[in-house]
Amino acid sequence: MSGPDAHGEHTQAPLTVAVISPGMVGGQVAHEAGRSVGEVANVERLHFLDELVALVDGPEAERIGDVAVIFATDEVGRLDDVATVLAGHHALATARLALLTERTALTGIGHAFDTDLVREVIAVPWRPGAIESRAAAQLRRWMRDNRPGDVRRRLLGAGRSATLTHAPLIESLSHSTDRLTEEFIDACEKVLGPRPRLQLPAGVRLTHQGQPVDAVGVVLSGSVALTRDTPVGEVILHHATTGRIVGLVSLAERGKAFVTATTTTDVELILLSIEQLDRALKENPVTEQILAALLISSLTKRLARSEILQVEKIELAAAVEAQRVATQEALDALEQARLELLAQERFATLGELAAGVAHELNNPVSALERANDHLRADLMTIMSTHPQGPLIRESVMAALSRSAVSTRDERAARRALEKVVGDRELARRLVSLGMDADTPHEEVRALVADPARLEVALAAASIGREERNVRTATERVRRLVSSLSTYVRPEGEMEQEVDVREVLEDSLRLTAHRLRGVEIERDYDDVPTVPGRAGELAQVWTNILSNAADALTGAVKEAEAQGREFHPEVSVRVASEAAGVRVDVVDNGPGIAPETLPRIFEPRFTTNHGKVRFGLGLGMGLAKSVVDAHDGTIDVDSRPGRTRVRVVLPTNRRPAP
Amino acid sequence: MKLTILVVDDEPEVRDAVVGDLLPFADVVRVEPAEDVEDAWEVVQEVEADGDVVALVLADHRMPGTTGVDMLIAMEGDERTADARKVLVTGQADQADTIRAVNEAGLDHYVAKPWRPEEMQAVVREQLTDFVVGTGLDPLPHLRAIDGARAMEMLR
Repeated sequence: MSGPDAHGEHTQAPLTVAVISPGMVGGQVAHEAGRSVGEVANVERLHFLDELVALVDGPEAERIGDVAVIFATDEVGRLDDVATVLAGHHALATARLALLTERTALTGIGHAFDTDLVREVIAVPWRPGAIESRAAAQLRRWMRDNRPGDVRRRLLGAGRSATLTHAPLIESLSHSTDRLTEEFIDACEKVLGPRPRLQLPAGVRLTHQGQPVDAVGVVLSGSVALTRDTPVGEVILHHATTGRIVGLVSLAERGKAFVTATTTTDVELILLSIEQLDRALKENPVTEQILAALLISSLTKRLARSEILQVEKIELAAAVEAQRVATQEALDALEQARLELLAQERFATLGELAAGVAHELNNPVSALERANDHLRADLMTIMSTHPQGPLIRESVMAALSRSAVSTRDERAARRALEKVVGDRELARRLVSLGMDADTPHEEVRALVADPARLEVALAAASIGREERNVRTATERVRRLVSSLSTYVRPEGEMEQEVDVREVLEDSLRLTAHRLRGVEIERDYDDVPTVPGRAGELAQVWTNILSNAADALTGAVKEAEAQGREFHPEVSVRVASEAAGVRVDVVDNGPGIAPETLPRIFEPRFTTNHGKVRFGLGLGMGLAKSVVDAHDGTIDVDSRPGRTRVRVVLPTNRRPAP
Repeated sequence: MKLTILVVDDEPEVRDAVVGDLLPFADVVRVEPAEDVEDAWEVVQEVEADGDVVALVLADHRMPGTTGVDMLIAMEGDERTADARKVLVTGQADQADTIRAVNEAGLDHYVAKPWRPEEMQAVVREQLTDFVVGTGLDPLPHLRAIDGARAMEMLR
């Protein structure tokens, strides 16, 4: 037949339909295929797949062009292997395969399906002429997908063959729902006579969940929602996708309504009882087709909706999970905040306690100090009348003003004097009088020769020494009390002018017990005061120094265990910088682990047995919040052997809000 | 040969106070103050060279560079001081340190600061007696520093 190819579409690239079969069947197939597609494509009759490959790779490749359709009997080989071979050759890669087989079951074709290779299975023997129509149809589809611009497709047009007319059901499926509804009502009315149209307002229940359904409603206009009562309330299953026939699914379920159908707008519908529907279906066969088409289209819509819902459900579940994780994180943060508050509260309680103790200590300390002074005054009064007065006074004053001597020096002095007096115990007592190797031997011997005088001198020296010790001890307590008072100075006085160096000294005093044996180097520039709260600032350095002490204690122990020498050192530097005061506390400890460093300011506690530890972490967290409140900065720079905590406080703070 | 009490404390006032409270023993017992661990070992050396014996160590808990506990542990392992009674004098020792001291340093007693002189003297007398009894020394030269009744019991 001559098609409308008068415009020279022969120039279109060549196409080939291949027929592969080692037996007689191949000739037959080629013959039938040639009849239907010969005008458009070469039909190549081959015996084995290899020949096809040779053809597209060989000198005739140009004539062959693209292989569009392959008819092959199942001798062609394992289909999965065939698929692999085809995929490897450009000219074959898009080919469609129609498989001819005498067998009743086929296996080993998974990959061939997966790669869209197998499009049709034709049973052998076939109805004469069947190959003709199959070849045309397959080639037409191939061209639709791969050569949409090729007008030769029309030569394979649907109108050329009666086999392209669809069955009534397939035909009906292409109709719109409205048309199907009309057709269905027409079909029913042919049997049942005109059906009254029921006009219903919104909110009418057409079916009740769980109740028997004895009739179906055909909705002509308006909307119906399908809902279902569930443990979490009424759920709308379908609204826009409800479809035109209400109740038929329930009929299939043997009578009980699965859902409640409720009108949501004014609805026009006709009602058909089961008996009426049954009669219409029996007496007018067309009704069945249309009902089937109507149902399929309605259920397809509902199914698509359900599938979308399923996807949405999974997405929602993922969102809920993400939300849950976020909530958990928020809860954790909250718990951290609570612990921090708890710790701060304990800190505040400790502070109050310390303030109380410091205050209470002032009285006994003052009493001690006064009593010591009075004792001395009284002693001096007695001395003035005592026959040995001058000796006693001299001994007391000497012992009082003599600074404490190291035990080493004492022993050295004792050994020297032992050589002079020949008695170790006596030498020891002379040392307590301040005598040593430099004391003229005559003086030593003179005193030893007068035991009464010696005893008085010893007792007087002892008095002097005790007095000195009392004074030293009292002074230490007094300074501690004063430092404690700084530490716990009440909040609120943010605008005090604070001398950072004094605060540092207080902090050093309060942490002295932890820094025993640590060499402290001070380097204080003359710096201006900063506005702030001395008590809070004291906490900052108390924490920093405590951490340094912890680190150094650990380092000392480790060095000892390894038999190494280690001299723990802390240097404290105060310097001016632009618009601020900078304080560096540097220790020569092992440093903070790199993984810990970024978290050092987090309020982190060892919650051993629920106890809050005032060690690293918490202390630094508090320090940071104090420095922040002073508009300052705090940072830590650490490597093994050198950890520096730098605090910078502005000398001019913006006014507190 | 004299029993020696080694007093180790880095604070001169505290050292003076301990030594002062030991005055009642001074006639018969040698009291040697030391300001740090190194110094304490020098004393141990010197005491041995003099032919005396370290009978009791009173160590402060907190000292530069090391703790009293660590020093007592070391002394427990040195033959010159292994037999000496060991007493920790401390203002602050946590439980772990105390347990360690008892377990590893053979700590014999624990005196909390501040102490009362009678208590300190009782402890010292008790420990010196234990030392004499434990080492089987002739108690007679040390009678004034030790518990006479227990010492005589030993002689029978």
